[in-house]
Amino acid sequence: MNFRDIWTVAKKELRSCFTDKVILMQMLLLPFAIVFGYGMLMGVMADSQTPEEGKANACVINAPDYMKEAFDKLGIDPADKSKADKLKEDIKNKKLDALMIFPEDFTMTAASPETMSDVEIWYNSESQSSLTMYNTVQTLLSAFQPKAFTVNADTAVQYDMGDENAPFRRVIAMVFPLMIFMATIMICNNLAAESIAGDKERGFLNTMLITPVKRSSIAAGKSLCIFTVVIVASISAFVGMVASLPALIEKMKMTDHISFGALEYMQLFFISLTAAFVLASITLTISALAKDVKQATTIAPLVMMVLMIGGMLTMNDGFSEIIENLDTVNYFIPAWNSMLLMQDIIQLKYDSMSVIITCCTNIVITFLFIFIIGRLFEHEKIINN
Amino acid sequence: MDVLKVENIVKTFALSTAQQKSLGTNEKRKTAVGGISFTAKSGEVFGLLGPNGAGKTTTMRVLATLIKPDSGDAFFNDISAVKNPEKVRASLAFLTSDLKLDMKSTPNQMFQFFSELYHIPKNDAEKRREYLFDRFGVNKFADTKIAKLSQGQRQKVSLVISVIHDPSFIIFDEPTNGLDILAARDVREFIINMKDEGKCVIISTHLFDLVEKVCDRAAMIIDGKIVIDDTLVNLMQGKPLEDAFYDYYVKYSGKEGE
Repeated sequence: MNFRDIWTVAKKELRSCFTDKVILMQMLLLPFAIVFGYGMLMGVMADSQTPEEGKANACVINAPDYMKEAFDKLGIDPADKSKADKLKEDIKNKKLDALMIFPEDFTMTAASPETMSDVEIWYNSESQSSLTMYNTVQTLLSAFQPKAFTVNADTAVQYDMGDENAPFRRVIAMVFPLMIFMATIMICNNLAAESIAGDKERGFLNTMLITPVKRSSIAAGKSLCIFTVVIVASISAFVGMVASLPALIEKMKMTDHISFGALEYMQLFFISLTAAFVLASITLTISALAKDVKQATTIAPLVMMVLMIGGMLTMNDGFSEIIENLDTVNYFIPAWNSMLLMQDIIQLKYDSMSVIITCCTNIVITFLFIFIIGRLFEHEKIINN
Repeated sequence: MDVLKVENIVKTFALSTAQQKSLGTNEKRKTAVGGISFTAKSGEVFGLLGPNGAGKTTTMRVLATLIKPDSGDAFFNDISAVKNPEKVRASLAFLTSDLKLDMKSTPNQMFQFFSELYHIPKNDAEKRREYLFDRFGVNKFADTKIAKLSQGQRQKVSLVISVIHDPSFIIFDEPTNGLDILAARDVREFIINMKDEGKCVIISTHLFDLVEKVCDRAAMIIDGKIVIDDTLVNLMQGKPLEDAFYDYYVKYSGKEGE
């Protein structure tokens, strides 16, 4: 390979990418928009599921005086017994979350189970906020019930051994790598298809092939252009992630316990970048093998689908167990390693060795694909259709 | 003296099941070129004449090093096209209607790109650009995107790019195919000019009038084999080339024409 020739080919390809306003906008903005947009969307969804403090949409009838203060603190309004039917109708129509009705002769000191006072809690299981309110008032009422003993009474002690932020991390850990990969594939799929399959289809590749330049140099030049685009797209996607993560954490109201340091961000960037190189080299290989642009752009999204299914399956306990059993082997599987490691980093349960193995594997695989593409360019049946 | 020696080139292609069906054969390989040999020299135009499917284009693509022969070789001034394809490509121009330029680029950008690929020093490239653009009248659309050029203008740019490196050997596969009468005339003039400049020009065509107008010598290909190779005068034997070709075709293929 001749680096001068590689640069000549890359320069021409880069010019056509960076002078095309549509491609340039896609490259710079699309990855950012996808990752940032999804981050914001998740934040909005989380926000809508979090009940607003002090604004409970519930009523209570005949509450005993010693409970009134507790209901008041929750923002549960007292109501008149005569309005019970209308309030129940409101719950049915999801206008009200819950209604508690205490009997007139409510007592906590019953002689037998038959004479126990019964508090009615009316709610609507079709409404998430109604279910939440139902659980809240149930907890409140059980706090007033007479007890023979207490459980986990010391509120200062954290009895839950699990990370309370784990579910949050698990969700964003699954989504962010997928979004970054999706953005990268969307950008380089079309460009790689146009670069090789497109030139093949339009007859320009053969015009280049009759120059004294080695075919592997032409392949490397085209690859260099796509990798440059991938670097730009990865930076854009990474900025989208960095911009949306703090807002997402805030929306999830977990600010106290989430802290991604510069090291985590740096590792996330390098892993997403090397993974993007692998994905780009896969799309380039597909493009070299394809007869035309249509074929190239149809095959490449299948790679994304495999990654997406794999990524989503990590939420499944059975599949997670299989992955855990594979242990370090996971990090030697290109593209998959990055998906998994990004999930690990976001969940703050990674080790440096995995990062090194993943980055090295991705770089080695990328060079291997460049070599394969170079060999494909020598294959007359492939290059001449 | 530049000499192209083609020695016993054989090229076969694998047939897919669909191709076997459409050709009505059980054979898994088709012989496109079955041992072609000829010699062409500088200062002359050598024509390969034959019907469609005779093996002309395959022969030309082998000479242009786009595909490798199964056996045999072509020597461009003793340099093997099989062993040193890059070295051979540095001294030849290949033009066919299948080879296109980048539609998003301008003629100027294409010239710069290919002059770099041919490792032409900057100053020499600039002089060459001025000479070729002036000679082919490319200057007036040098900064227009190729996609916006007419067919004739594109053909002129293609001709300029093909000889950017001042090659000794010019290989043209069906040079006037698909061109209008004006563009076809430009190509004919180009071929004659190249011959006058002392280049070794090889063209393949099925157009008798083109051969009559530009070729000094010609070979007739039938079913992947050269059946006759001689000067145009000897080939024609006082008859129009078309009639002469038909006689040879009947004689060597045993068919009454298709």
